[in-house]
Amino acid sequence: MASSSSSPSPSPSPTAMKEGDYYPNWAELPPELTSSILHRLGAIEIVETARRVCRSWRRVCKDPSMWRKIDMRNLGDHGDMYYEKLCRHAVDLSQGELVEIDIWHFGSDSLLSYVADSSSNLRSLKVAQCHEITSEGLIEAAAKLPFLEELEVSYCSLSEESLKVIGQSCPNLKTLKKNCVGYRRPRDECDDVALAIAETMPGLRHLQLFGDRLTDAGLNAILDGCPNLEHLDLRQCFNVDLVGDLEKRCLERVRVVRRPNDSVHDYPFDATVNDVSSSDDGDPYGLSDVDILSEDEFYYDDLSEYASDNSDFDPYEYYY
Amino acid sequence: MSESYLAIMKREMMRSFIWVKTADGSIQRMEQEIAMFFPMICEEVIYKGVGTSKNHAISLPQQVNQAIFSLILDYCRFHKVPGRSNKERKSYDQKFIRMDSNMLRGLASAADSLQLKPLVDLTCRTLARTIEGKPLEEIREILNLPDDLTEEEKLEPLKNTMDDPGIRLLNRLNAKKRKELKERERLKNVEVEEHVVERSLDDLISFINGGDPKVVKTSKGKKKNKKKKDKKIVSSHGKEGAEDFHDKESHGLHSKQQGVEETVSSMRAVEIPNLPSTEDDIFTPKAGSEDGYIDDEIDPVMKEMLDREVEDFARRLNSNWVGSRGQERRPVRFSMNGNGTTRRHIDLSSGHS
Repeated sequence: MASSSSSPSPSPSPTAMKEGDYYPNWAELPPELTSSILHRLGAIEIVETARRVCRSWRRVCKDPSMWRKIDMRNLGDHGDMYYEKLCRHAVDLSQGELVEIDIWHFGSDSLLSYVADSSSNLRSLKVAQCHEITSEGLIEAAAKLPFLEELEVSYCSLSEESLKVIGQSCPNLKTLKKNCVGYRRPRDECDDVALAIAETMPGLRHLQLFGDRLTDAGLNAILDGCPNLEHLDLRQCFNVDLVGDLEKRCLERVRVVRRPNDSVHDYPFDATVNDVSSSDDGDPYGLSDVDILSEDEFYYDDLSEYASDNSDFDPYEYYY
Repeated sequence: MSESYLAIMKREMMRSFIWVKTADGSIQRMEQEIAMFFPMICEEVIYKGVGTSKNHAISLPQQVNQAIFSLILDYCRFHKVPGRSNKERKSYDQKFIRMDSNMLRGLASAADSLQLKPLVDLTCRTLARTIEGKPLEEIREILNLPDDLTEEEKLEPLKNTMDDPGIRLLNRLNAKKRKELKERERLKNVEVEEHVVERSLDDLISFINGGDPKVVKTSKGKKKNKKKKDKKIVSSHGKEGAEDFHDKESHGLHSKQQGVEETVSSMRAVEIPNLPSTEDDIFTPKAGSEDGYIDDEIDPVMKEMLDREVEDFARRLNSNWVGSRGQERRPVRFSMNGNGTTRRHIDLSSGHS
């Protein structure tokens, strides 16, 4: 009866199932599990495909719990209007319970406003490469999101003044990502962003300033102004010279530091450095930047879902 | 007094193995440090005092049979070791997850019942990948799911707060068009063969510019990101050309573009192509797209008639439409990210904020 062994049994080959072993088919999975699976498809595929497959999936896809986190990074071919409408629909489905939203490549100030108006409990707002979104739009939205803890504004326009206002509107901000294209030459220096952060975001734990033009002075200001910093990503911040006392100070105070010349393999955006001295004419599609991956590499990276940037969390932390 | 009781229980846990009983009645034991990962097991031990001996084994949820339990143990044993790098863990996960799909579902279900979050994430992510990018029909087929939605529900447009009748009309037209196209196909009784061909960029561009009219499906699903890049480049060309759909001359180009878009894009949704207002047309599947719509199958006269009908509505819609911004296509630039995913971005001469 008891089959206890002194050492644990090795894992059986997948086909060696005992008689009577029964595994649920897709239709029998509990709804929360189905929801968990379908959610990973992202909002667009859920709306376009998943909810039309069958009755039970439709039910799962309509449930507000599916829409507490909206991921709209994986766009297809349609125009911005289409995705805006889709996004608004998704926000409606959350019924005010939206906690996290992630938007790449589309979006307008009015969409932001729509999100902020209906989701005052929003904890995480991430926008990247949204060229229609302006500083004013962001300020307006931030003013309605007092519980915001995470903000990403990458490759969008956001003035330093606006950053200050946002910092003041969102006292709970713990994560800020403001990434842009790194410039190696000319050495254009600017500490405005760093100072704005140091001034208005004292609670920051994670900061990612990929490609920023800050200097050592800006870094020092940040270290002064953000005493709780745990993760700091300074990749492609080529004006920072992380040596000597500054380096020491940085490493003492911050648990994980990504240095200016560190590897960008896990960075989710295009990390091509803008090297003004090199010419890239005759390259209308930017294909010379293309890093054609081998088959294996592709699938390896695919596993990480848009190469989750591990600089601010450790997926295996659960086990320590 | 209760504090010391807890302390005793904790000490007990530290010292011994935890005994569990799987759903199929098999009694197993696991090291206490592994047992720590399972909230329900901890609760049973601490608050009910079970699990510390063979005779008082904790009953695991019904989803956890011996085989699954063994897998879960292996997984936990690997990951509990603190020294491993993330790369190692990822590599292990990749290998671990390779199993029969039935078992994978069983594992997901079991992990869920045991609230083992990392394993739930891993299994669900993998399961999602089996569905990702696939068209409706294929999903139903491979997952064995019933096609039990009504036609109405399938075409269900978004609830517009404006509830524009024009949109409803467009939807109906869509459905009608789809039906007619389906009939056409059935009448002709031609096998729709799926050509899995990877078109080079040059091929596609020359096609748009009036090259080979025979339209062939590009491979879908494979290297999704690469395909997306091709798709986007094509559609940007397409849309630039067809703004003035009143122009008779462009009609030839229009239908070719339509063909290209429909073949290059996967079974995904919507819209009469190139009509700005139809972006509001709601995410309904494209006419005949599920069955492998091919351009030269359709009677051109019929097609032209349908196109005209649709254009008519679009024109009407356009004139009433409030809030549509300038729909002229900005030149869209594409590049690959470091990890192979594509991104499109609007070509600005200065690239950063």
